[in-house]
Amino acid sequence: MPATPSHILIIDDNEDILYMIKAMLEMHGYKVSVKQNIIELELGLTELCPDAIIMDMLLSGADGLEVCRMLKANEKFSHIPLIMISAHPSAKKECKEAGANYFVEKPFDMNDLVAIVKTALK
Amino acid sequence: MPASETKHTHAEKHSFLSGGGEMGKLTRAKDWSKTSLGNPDSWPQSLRTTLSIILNSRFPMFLWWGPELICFYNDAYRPSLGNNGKHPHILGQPAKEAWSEIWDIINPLINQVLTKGEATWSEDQLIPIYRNGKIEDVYWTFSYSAVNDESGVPAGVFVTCVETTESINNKKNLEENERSLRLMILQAPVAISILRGENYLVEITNKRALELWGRTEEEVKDKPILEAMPELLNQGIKDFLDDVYKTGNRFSATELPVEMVRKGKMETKYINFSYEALYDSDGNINGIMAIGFEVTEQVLSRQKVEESEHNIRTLVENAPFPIGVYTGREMRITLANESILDAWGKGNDVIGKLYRDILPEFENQEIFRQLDEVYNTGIPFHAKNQRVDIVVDEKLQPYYFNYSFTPLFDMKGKIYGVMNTAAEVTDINVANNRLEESEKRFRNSVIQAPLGIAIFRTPDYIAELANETYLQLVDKSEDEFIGIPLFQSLPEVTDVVKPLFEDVISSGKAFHSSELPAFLNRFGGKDLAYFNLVYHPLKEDNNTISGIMVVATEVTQSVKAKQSLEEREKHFRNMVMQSPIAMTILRGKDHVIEMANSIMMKTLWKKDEEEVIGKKMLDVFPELKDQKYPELLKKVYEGGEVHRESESLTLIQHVNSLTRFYFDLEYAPLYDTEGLISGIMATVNNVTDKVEARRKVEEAEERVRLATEAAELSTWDLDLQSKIIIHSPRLAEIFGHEKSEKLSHLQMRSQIHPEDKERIVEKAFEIAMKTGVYFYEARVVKPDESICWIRTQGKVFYDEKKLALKMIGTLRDITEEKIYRQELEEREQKFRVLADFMPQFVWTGDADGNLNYFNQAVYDYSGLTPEQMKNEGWIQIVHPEEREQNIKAWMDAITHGKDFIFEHRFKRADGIYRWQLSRAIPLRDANGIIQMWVGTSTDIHNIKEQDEQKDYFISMASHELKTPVTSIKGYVQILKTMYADKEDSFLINSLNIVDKQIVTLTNLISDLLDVSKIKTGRLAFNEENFELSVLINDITEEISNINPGHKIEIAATKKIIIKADRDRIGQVLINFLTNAIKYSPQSKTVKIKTMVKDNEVIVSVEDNGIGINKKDQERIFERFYRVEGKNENTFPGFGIGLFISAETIQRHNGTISVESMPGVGSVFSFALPIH
Repeated sequence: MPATPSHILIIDDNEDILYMIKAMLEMHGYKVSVKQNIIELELGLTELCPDAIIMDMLLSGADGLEVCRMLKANEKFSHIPLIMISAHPSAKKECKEAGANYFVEKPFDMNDLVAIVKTALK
Repeated sequence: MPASETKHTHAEKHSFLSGGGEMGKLTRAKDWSKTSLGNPDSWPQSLRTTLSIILNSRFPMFLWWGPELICFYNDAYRPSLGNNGKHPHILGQPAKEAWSEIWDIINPLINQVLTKGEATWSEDQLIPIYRNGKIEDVYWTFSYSAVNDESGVPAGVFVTCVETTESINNKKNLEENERSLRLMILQAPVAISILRGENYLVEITNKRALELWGRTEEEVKDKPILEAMPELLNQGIKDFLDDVYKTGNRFSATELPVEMVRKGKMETKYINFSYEALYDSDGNINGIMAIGFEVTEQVLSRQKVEESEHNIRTLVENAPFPIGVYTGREMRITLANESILDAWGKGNDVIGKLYRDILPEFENQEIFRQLDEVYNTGIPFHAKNQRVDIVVDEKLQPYYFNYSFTPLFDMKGKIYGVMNTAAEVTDINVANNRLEESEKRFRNSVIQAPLGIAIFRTPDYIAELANETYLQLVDKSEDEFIGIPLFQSLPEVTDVVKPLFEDVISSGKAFHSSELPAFLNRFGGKDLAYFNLVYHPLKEDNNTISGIMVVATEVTQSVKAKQSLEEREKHFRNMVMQSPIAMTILRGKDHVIEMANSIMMKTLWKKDEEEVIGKKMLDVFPELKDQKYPELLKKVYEGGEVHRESESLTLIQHVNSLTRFYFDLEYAPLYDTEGLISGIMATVNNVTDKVEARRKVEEAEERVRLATEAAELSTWDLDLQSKIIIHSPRLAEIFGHEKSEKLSHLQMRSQIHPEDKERIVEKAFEIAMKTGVYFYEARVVKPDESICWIRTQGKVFYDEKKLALKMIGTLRDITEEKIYRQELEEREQKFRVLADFMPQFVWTGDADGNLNYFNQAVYDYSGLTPEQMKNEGWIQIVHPEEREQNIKAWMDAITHGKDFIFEHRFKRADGIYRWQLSRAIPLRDANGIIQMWVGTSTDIHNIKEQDEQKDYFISMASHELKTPVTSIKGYVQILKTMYADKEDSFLINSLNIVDKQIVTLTNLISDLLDVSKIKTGRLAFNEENFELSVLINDITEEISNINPGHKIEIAATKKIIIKADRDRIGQVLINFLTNAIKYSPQSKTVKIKTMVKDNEVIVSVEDNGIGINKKDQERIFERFYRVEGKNENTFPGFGIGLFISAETIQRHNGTISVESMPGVGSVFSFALPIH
């Protein structure tokens, strides 16, 4: 376990999923911040300065793909690894096109998610 | 773009339409989009190629293409359509419309070509077509052959044809010629008559026959010959006729004496005649041809000659003094009368023997020498009181004779024998007496002899003696003749006779003359008479000649008879030379060509006179040696029988090749005046053209006959004047009679059903008389009172004066067709009533796919009237988006006879389109030929909407399910991690079960999503190359881990690389394996096998489970289908796994299948192509 744990930001409007992922990652020793929406996301990102971002593709009130593109267009954040989650297996392609670094399909296995996060942080 | 440029581009675009003259132009200009073939852009290559060939060919060609058999033809074909007929409007027309008038004839041929792919060949077939503004009789030689489309299925019929009307007409002319030849024969100089039927009704007689019979035409015409000529009854003529009529053997007779009435008197006539059987078209004898000519005159004149010969012989034989005639140098006894035989003491058996042999005792008595001398010198020898020793009663005894040996001369004056006369003077007294006696008898016999005998004494030739016959010959009384010089009583003979007499006197030699002509003033006029004469010098003992004995026989009659024979022969020769029939006369047993007429020379032999005349037949024509002719000629020459033969095949050498000829020939023996055969007259009629033409006609007829028989057609030919009908055997059969029976027109009419007779048949006949076309369908009552339907079609033929001569046509038994039609109509009626009450759309189409009926519901829904539907077409109610697909699918169904099933939208009266499911099936007759199509359309709009909603729902629901499943799964995993070290085994187990069920749930959700993707066509595959065995091993391992209770055996597989969606194929394997495990709770082993067969890899999964019954096997790959049964209740899950597997494999161009037996197990397998 590293002395300074990596900081992961999870964005999902579904509270259950949000805290489940949080619990999983915390179990594996990560520092986790959560956000249920993307209001003042830019401000939050600057503040939190996460090492990686996990984000659901479908967010109430926002298009996850659009957010993805926006983040990757902003040089302040474009370096942060971005993991997208969706129930639609076909979304994988769109997400990659929008600039996402990783894609995880729902429902997922905890070990698979942790492995992807680990890879993203390398 | 200007119009001309457009055209140019069009032709260029369709190079198969370029060129081709007028028809090429018409074909290019035609708006094909209005035909069922559509725009040429869409024409198949096969049509294009065929059309290109046709348009550019100079040989007449025609093509029918597509289901409607659309017509194409080329410039060469165009003249056959004539003017004012089919050209050019039949281009692009369906065959059935274009050729409606002959559709019955050609449709079976077309079907034969299309269904069997066999080509047809018809020669000189009569197919009347509409052209030049009327139905014309046109003869064709044509062939139909199939043209296959790209799929190898016949799509068109290719016709090559030649119109042979002209050559057929030529043939007819030939037959006409034959008829006139027959007429010529009828006018021949021999008697010919045709006797018809077993009563021998006189049908035709020529003038000669009437002359021969001594009757007028009215007396015999159409009467039985034996009634018209009752005198023939007892003369065996009837037997001859009956024999010929019964056996067909020719009868001929020469010089048959027949008693006939002439000018009210019975007379004997001699006739050469023959009876020849006549056959009808069926080969039955229906008459006799009698040919004859009278030979009475010849026979009588011959009889007279024979009679006079007989008279002389009788005279000699009965002469009271011994007379013997010895002929030849060897002195053969040819005549010996009673008296000389008595003198010799011999019997009748000496005739034919040699004089020397029967009287050897004369050897030393000078007699033989005397005879030799007379024979050698011609000088008569007389002996008086000569002793002759003769062996009588076996003793040599002396007798005394006065005897003479007189030379006999033939017509040419050559000695051929010696006549021996004698008188026995053994006892002088007796002899004297006898002499006196004999002299008296002689005088008497001379006086009474039929020979004229007279003795004239020199120097004035005073008649000393003349018998009755002589006086009669010269028509004088005894007073006018005896004692008067000859040249005084008969001055008219002086010029002829006097020099002859003087010659006899001076030479002392007898004068013989045959047939010496002389004019005599007798019987009240100057009469030319002919005599056979002998002037015999009468010598005194001192060798001086004191007179002449004249022996005369008048032969005027026989000479005249002979002359008339000669005359006849001259006529005969003229006849031969001028005959239009080739004739030749062959003389002698070597058949030397004596004469041949020019027809023979020029047309048959093709030789000059010098090449043949005077030469032997077989030297001139050596090729005949090996044929039957030498034998025939020999038979005629030796047997005297006339040989006649019709259409005898003969090979004749012309230039360098043997040419085949057919001859009607006659070899008739020729007799000389003696009644011996001296030659042969050969009459040869070259009938090669006729025979060959007839053979062709026969062949064509045979073909037509076969064709009509095949079509069960019968044919008939009605003479409109006589109402005599000739029909084919099939017609009798249709009317319920024996095939061989001949029905009369009246009988046929009488068999027409009473209800149809006036109403239909007679009316049709009236119409035919007006229009020339005869057509009706009516009922026939058969003799067994059963009823059949007939269809009669005919055509009236007219003479030059437009007078209806005859009608020719066909007749067909259409009972079955009729019953079928009636049943169909009844059924249709019922069906329509039923259909109109149905809320569903019901419609029907004909065999070609033209819709011809819609039920009321269709009109109610669409708001269209039947007229609008008919005029604007049903396709107008189909949504524009589906129209093209719709027509394609419909044509596909029509062409291949497949069921039609299609989903499309129909426009409702309010303009709204609603989805319909249309199905149509073909109705076939007993032969499998499609009769009609019956279709239904069902409104599936709501169902379809619901289905779409359901698929949408499944898709949505599945996604919505994923989120809660994700969270459940996540928390379970967290819990398991958190409590992994705890000893609460129940909790751990529970969490494991939840985790496992979540996996199942996850799989179900993804299956459902796949299904909805399949339904909406969104299932995507990512193909890659991978090794199949590795995948199988991976999947097997995975499944084994989850199902530790089952053992999965992998049969050894080699390395096979396939290109496919690895995950999807893996999914299929998982599906097969989980099913195998799921449905085999008892058995614990599942086998998985891989094998390669022809470019395919087959993977199969075998279990020993509960199995699937046959019915279920067929549907197991359908969506949401699950095998039902007791055992399956324990196994949860949607039956969609196999549906997805099937879809996956099919999308990979593979096949999926199952083999199973309930209680034994199942084998599921899929096959994928190896690239």
